[in-house]
Amino acid sequence: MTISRLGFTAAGAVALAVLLSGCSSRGETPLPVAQAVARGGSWIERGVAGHDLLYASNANGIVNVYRYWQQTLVGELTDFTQPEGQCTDANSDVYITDYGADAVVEYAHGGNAPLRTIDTTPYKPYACAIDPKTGDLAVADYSNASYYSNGNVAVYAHAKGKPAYYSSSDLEHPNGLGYDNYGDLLVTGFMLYGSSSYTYTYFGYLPAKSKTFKVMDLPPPESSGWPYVDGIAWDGKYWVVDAYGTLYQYSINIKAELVGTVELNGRGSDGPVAFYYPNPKKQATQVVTTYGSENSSEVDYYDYPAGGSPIHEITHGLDKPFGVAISVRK
Amino acid sequence: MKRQTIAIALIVLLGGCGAPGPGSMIGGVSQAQMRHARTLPGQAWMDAGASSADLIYVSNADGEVTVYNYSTKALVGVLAAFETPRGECVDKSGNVYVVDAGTDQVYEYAHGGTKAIKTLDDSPYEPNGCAVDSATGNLAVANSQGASGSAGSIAVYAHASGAPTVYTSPTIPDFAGCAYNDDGSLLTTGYEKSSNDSLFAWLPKHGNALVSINVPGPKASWTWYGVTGIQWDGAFLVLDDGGNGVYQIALIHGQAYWVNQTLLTDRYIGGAEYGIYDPNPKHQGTEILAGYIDESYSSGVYYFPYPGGGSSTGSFSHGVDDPFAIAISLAK
Amino acid sequence: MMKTRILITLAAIALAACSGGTPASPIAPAAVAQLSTSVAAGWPVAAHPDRRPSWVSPDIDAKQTQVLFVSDASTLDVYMYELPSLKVVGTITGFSQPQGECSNSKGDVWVTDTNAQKIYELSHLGRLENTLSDSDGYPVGCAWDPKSGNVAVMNIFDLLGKQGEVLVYPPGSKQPTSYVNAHQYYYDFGGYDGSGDLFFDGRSEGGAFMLSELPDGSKAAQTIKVSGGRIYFPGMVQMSTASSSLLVGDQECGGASAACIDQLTISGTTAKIAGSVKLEDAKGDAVCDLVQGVEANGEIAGSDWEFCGYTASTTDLWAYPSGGEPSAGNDSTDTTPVGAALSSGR
Repeated sequence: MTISRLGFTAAGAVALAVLLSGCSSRGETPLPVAQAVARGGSWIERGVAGHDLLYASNANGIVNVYRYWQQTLVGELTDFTQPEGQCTDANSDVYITDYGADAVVEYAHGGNAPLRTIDTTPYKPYACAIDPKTGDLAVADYSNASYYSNGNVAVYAHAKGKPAYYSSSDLEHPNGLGYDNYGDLLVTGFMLYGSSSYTYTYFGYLPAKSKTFKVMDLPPPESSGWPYVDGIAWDGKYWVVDAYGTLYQYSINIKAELVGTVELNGRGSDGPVAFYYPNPKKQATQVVTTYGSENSSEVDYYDYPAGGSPIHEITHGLDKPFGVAISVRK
Repeated sequence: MKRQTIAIALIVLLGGCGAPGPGSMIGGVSQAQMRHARTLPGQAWMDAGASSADLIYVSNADGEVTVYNYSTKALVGVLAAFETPRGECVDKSGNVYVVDAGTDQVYEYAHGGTKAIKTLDDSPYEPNGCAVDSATGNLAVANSQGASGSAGSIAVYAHASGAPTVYTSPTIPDFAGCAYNDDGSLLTTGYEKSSNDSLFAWLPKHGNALVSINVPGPKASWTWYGVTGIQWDGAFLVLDDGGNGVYQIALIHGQAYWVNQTLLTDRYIGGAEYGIYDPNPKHQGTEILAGYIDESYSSGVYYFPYPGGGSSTGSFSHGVDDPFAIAISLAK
Repeated sequence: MMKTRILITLAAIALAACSGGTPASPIAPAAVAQLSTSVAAGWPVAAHPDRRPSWVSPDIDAKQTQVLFVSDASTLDVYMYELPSLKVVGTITGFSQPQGECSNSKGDVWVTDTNAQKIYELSHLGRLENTLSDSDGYPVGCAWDPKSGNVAVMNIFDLLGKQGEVLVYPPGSKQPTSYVNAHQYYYDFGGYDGSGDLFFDGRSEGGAFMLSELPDGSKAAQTIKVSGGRIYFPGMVQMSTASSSLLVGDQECGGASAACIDQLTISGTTAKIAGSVKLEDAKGDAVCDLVQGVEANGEIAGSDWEFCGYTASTTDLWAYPSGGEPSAGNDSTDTTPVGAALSSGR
């Protein structure tokens, strides 16, 4: 099917329009500039390990740590060049991709120093996910060393050793992924259409225990095709595809089927969303998004699957946040 | 082309409004027939000796059924007793049935004959297509609608005579066509109420009711639309969708299977106007004839290899006017 | 920030807009038109995308639950019935044309998808575990060999509608081996005995019922000549769990619209019909059509595809070998039931 090839759609246009208005009104330079400014060392309040924590990657290279329920800043991790997507494992360890340093850095829940650093050279990691069953770590490598070169998906068995790489010519730039409770991996990525301005969103699927990474045909929510997709997550019951603050729920068995849509009526969403699950076997009850512009930087909480307006907003200490993770207390 | 056909149907329908009900009969002839008889555009004729050849019967928008020699492609006759001749079908002895959506009658002609040897009153239904079961001689008529625009039906005339057994479907209000399988079961097609989507129903050999069935297509999640008729090609049931090809389907004990397709590369089939030449009924047909009309309303009938398809190998156009159906009656 | 960066890179227009400072429409109208045209071509408006998700009740987490999987050729779903209640505990969606089924001792169920030319392996909980592709033809029946773990698939015919075949997939392999009985044209359903021999039914080119055997280790299948009665139209094939009989379903029992299961005694290349189980509906009338059923635990589980025009289709349990009226039934789920397999949780 060629449906998702033609993914530049109304919603995509809206996203782009938003972006454009950002450009013209604010005169923001679009060129990538790694703003690695580590201001002093990492710190984290003592005693926070007993609390649920929220981690957010900022454009200034710092990862902020908040108490999840109080929304108070309790720490800053400064060992990054350009931190992006994050994920947590069953032990509540937090993995943070460092796009600028070609690395994925693992922290203990509430820890202020890396447990270890996984070198992803020459690939530029952008998002990650951990299989709750096996502990496998999947990393969406946005590109090879050159920005325009194709990336891939790296799967580190038990989050260790050398990865197995998966790629598809359609998913030139993987930019989001997630595991479900069964160990299936769903990936989103896109293809640039020649030198034009269009992206074509694709999805890749690596079923549990399988070595065959295949393009998955997710019926687009609109007849015109897929907009740009910010991330993939598993809500405990359904796959969730995040397209700028609209969450599309999918079920995948024999094939993928759109189950529902959750509208988040906040600022929108820039990066992969994070879910809060009070019970790992049930559907998430809250979802957290990030948003950043020159004028505003926010982390927003929403009821899930109700959606609607944010129930909490964090603005303190943020600088255009992108990746976010919820690390629950052990 | 399709628009034109619909317009004609509408005129017929409107014209019928003031006329007496179709049920009223005078001396065994319906008033619709009487009315029609007075407005015959021309006389039927047939070349002497035409019946010794394989013949092609083309039902045309101008109300004539024109007859051609299959090999020479020459016009050899005209049947002219119709208002709106639609679907045609042929029984195993070569008799040709023509359904008339204007008079709601079904006319049976002997191979090469100029006068109907039998007329079946299909009223109050408006027939659109037909099929004959070669084993039993039963005639099935696909009716697009009933009295006052009510739902259509499948009418089965046992041994092609008498009063029919009428089958309706809760899902198909408008039947377009039907064809018998080699095992005597009938596949029917019609349109969904509010769209051009095509639906299918199966009448088992000894069945008492039409059974809605799913007919798979060339791809998963396939939806048929615009299917105007079904034919039997000697091996498979054949559907069209108004595009440039026809599709072979197997119907086995009520399960339909996608088999293959025949693409016609230089002409489009715009409606039900295709016929399959099957000189040996035990095997699949060898040639397909497709009716065609272009943007300047120039009509013709084109010959294509079957089931291979491809480019046309011949054609005729004399007397062809926006053809609706093409039937081939083999010489005895 | 990263978001901005990616979008800008992918959006040459955006760059132009930034440098030119024109707050123009981000996409030229022509480009929109072009895109929507292409989309319409690839995603027909008339399509009915099946957007219902599969669902499975959490109640069947219990490993001892027996689940009957029934495929439906009209709704294109596979229904999961808990036994013996016949309560629906799950629906698997997304098929193109689900037909025959078979299961292994682990509770996995294979479902052939005829039109998709795939065979899906589902877990006891209805989850897709594996997919086999069939590039040769249109799969209808399948059988699991308890001796080797092989899965045999019966292609009713090939891609041109001509002679079908049996494909045997070794465990874990996606590369099948093809077997035919040169005299058999259509291949319908099959079942293994405990010794690795595969029995399958179908029809000759002329449409006559045929039974064949692919003996364990053999390279070609042979005809099993049936005596002691006539089987009109091929149905289920299963080695009885209660006796040494081979059970062969007849979808036109006695040449009528009725279903029975014949008990065959196999001897070499001959089979004798030693008995026949007549199946009735809840009103005592002959079952209109049982396409595939499963015999286990003194019962036949399967469905009455009611195309005879009297009542709705039902999924039932009949006593085996006595047959007759069903001991339980569900008449509100299946429309066109075809395949059936029993899955016992591990």
